[in-house]
Amino acid sequence: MAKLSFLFTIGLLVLWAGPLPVHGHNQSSSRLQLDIVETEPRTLTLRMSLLDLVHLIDLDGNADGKLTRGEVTAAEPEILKLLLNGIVLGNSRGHCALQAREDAVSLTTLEEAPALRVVLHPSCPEAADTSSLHLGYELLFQEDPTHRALLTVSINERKAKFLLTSDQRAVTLMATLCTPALPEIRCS
Amino acid sequence: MPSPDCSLTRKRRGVGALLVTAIAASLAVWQSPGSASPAHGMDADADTVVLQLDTGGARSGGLATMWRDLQRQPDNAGAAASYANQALQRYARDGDARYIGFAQGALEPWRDNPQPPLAIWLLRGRILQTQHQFAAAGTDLDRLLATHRDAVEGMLLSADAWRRAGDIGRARARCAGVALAGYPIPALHCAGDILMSLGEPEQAFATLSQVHEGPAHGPPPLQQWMLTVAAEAAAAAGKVHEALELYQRALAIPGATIALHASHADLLLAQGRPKEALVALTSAPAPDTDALLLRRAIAAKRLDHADRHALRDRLSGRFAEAERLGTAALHWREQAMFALRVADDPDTALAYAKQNWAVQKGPEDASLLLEAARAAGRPEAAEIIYGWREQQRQQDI
Repeated sequence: MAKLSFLFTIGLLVLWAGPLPVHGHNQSSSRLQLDIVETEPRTLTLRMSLLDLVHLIDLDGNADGKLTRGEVTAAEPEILKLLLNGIVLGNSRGHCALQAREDAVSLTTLEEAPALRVVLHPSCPEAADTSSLHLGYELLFQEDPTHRALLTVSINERKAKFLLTSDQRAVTLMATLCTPALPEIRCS
Repeated sequence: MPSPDCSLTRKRRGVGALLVTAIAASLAVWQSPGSASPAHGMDADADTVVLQLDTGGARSGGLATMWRDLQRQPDNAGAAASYANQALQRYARDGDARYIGFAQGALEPWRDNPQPPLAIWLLRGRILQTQHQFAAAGTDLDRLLATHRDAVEGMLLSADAWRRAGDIGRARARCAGVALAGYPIPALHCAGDILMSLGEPEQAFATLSQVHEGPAHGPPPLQQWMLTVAAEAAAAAGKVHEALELYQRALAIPGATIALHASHADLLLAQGRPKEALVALTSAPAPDTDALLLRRAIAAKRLDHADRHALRDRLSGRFAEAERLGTAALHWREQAMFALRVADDPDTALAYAKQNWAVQKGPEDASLLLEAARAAGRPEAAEIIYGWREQQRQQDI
């Protein structure tokens, strides 16, 4: 019995569920959509699962284990502060200001689960080299090193996709945008 | 209650005919965290619940609260292990893989530590295994066992990791270690898994069926795991009645994992009982998780159910999303099953089944490759299984 108790004193009962078939799955992930018209970023939209967001912010104001729409609304300033600290858009001249207008935050779905949608309006320094536009993303990597963000850049009805991971937290959009097919992008 | 030999292989019987009585039932009770079934609405008013939070763990808010507490003391190994353990339990129950990532996040301070605290070390190996890094998991756990020679949990996990990685010799040695440490019943099930991987489910079931003739042993999660192994052995050996009974006993234990529900459904589907499979899957705690949704789609197709196209499309969408997110490799087994049993595309199924076999070599992976090869009219494509099994047996000699 002494040995038996050793098995469980550390309380890792979940290990007994380990030697069962491992099945496929998706990791936590968010979606970013950057819309560019001509050479100007117009909107940056983020969708993030509420299951992920509650790990970043204590949204359950009355601690009853139920997250209501009202609690999400009440936490909007904190949500925006968190997001604005975790996302950087910029070019060779500096960072773009990301502004959240009224109704920037709404509820949506992501991968069939409830999620938050936040629309930000960038205001970027004027740059001679518009291809220097870059985006950095730091959300959730500390909580989940396997987290991924799928960035879709829509420019003049063309689309390019980028995958942001804990090992690749920033992208410079030049590689895709600086092509003869997009002559409106001024490349250095 | 019989005390059977620890028949680790056909060649090595009687590694330890150790007493079963070492396993007692007076152990901690498995506790599942609260559920987080989403109930969302775009037009909801302020009081409408948009998310039912996990309320397991120490306080309301469950894991999220535990995480915030952990952030105040990120190097506290006990708190980190407790959080990671809760997260992995949640994953086992709900199949939501974000909790594997959360568990990994809690262990980050010890990611490259060559000798972390035991609990952290075990969890690190468990996470690697869950992420299909089987050889890495086995290697890390073997290092653990060099330091903690009596860590039976580490032996079981290492055995499972090496078995899936295809190194039966190392897996067998870990099972033997479990027996020699005084745990013959878990060791028998560990060995049963190996026998199934080697294509000898009859022998596995012959041994395990004796164990389960008597009363249950050990804490509920341990019972559940052992019943599931025995049920899978029975199913693979063609003992359908016995398998179903074992599954029912396993499912009656609170805290059934997604993997158990999936395994049970696989037997019902293999027996041409899709209606029962669909009922069982739909009433499972997380019917929309990938593994169960896939089996629902298979059942619906066979029943010509009204939902068959919707289920197929949902799965297609998830696989496409995994491709975009660069996580498709974790879905090769499910992709193969989907192509074979839902999309009627045996060539694609065979391609995925071969890719999957290169990564994991469980009995279910072998069966899938065999079935896909036959369906594609290329039975020779499955010869790698027989070659591998023969090689593993030769090494045993």
